[in-house]
Amino acid sequence: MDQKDCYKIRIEDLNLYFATNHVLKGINLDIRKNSITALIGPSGCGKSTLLRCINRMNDVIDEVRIVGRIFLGHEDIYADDTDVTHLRKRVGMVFQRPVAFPLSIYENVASAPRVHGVSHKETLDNIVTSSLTKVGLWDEVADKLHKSALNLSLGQQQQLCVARVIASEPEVILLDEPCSALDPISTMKIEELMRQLAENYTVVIVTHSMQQAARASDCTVFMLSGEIIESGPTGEMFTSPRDSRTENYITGRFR
Amino acid sequence: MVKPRRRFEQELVELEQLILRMGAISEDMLSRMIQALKERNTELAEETVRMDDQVDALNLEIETICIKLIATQQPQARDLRRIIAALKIAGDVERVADYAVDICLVGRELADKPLFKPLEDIPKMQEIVKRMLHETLDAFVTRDLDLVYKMIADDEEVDTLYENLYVELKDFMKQDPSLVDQAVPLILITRYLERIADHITNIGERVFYVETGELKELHV
Repeated sequence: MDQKDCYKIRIEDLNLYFATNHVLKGINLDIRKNSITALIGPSGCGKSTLLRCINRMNDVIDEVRIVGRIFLGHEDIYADDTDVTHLRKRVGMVFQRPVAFPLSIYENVASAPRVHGVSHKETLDNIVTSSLTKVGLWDEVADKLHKSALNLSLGQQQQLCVARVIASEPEVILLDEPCSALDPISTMKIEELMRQLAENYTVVIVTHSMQQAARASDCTVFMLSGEIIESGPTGEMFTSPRDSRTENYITGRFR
Repeated sequence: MVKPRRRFEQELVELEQLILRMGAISEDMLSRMIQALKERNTELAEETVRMDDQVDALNLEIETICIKLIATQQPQARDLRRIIAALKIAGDVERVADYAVDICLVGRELADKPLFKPLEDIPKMQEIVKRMLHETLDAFVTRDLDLVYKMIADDEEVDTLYENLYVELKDFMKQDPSLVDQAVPLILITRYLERIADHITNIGERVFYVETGELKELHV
């Protein structure tokens, strides 16, 4: 594979201002295709803001100004002619707390493809079945597809949210603290699910848990005060970080 | 159904396969080493020495993986024991291969003239040592501790052979000092074989640790 083609996302000289506050400062980052990249750093370092730039979720906030470019494949997603709805189909997002819609399990998954124009019942059935199977939820919910999704456990609801994202056939899946509301067993299931997803999708995760970044990611990016301090293969980052600030953070000596 | 930690489990299995590959090369080195000695085949001895590079490379690879797994996977309980055992076992297998090299190097001193006595006990020691390594690696895979106990019993036999040979070779030298040139390398070879057996018992102790959670010396 061409070196350039290994990367799914390329962020170039990205700066984000919230009113007069300079939140992201000169971000340059390549994110590898079909792998898991974790963004870590203390609260307020800008990791969630950076994640939200990748599907232009920050656009909806007033007073946000973004300068720089993000390429998804060869397309600049901040170009004037970008169809943002289509972009968010290509770049799906899972949030900190599972956001199951107050609908049936079936409708939770079918809603996204429906929005994107799929109306044929059999096609929708297939999408629901395959999405729930891919996230490992099918066996548990096959006999209650038309019951409310709100009856599922939090861990199952988070799996459902991932199923809903992949029902839109995205290329990239962004996860913003997807396990912080979950118990340890559900957390491990989501981590293993991410591993499976990375076979077909590019996965980017923001996590407060360094242990999670260490366990579950291929590449880690350490951020501090809106800047990327260090990024690289996770195994290297957690055994021999190059920057003393990274070392202090991952060894718990951060002040 | 998503099976938690599937990837980590797979990495542990791969780690253990590297140990087995390293063990197989060392076992092979033990066979070639004795053949080279018996046949006074210096070419085969050189070849055996070169095989050590593969063992050294595997040792570093295993160490790197263990460090990465400890740093990133927060291993607990049996997982932790497996990683620590792999790290220690790799070190012992590496030493086994190093002693096989030492024997090949010392063996060169014996290659140019006929031996004053036929090689009997040394090949016997080699056979036991090689069997010990095989049994221990088998135990590592099958988790069969009976194989470990059997290997410990074999180690005692190696110790006895070593002690007897040591006394015997010393006596030869006393009786005829001109035998020193051959007897000293032979004593060194028996000593190396005895050390190899000790490293193999260390491996057995790590297999015992993985299975029981108990760290202890198994040989008496």
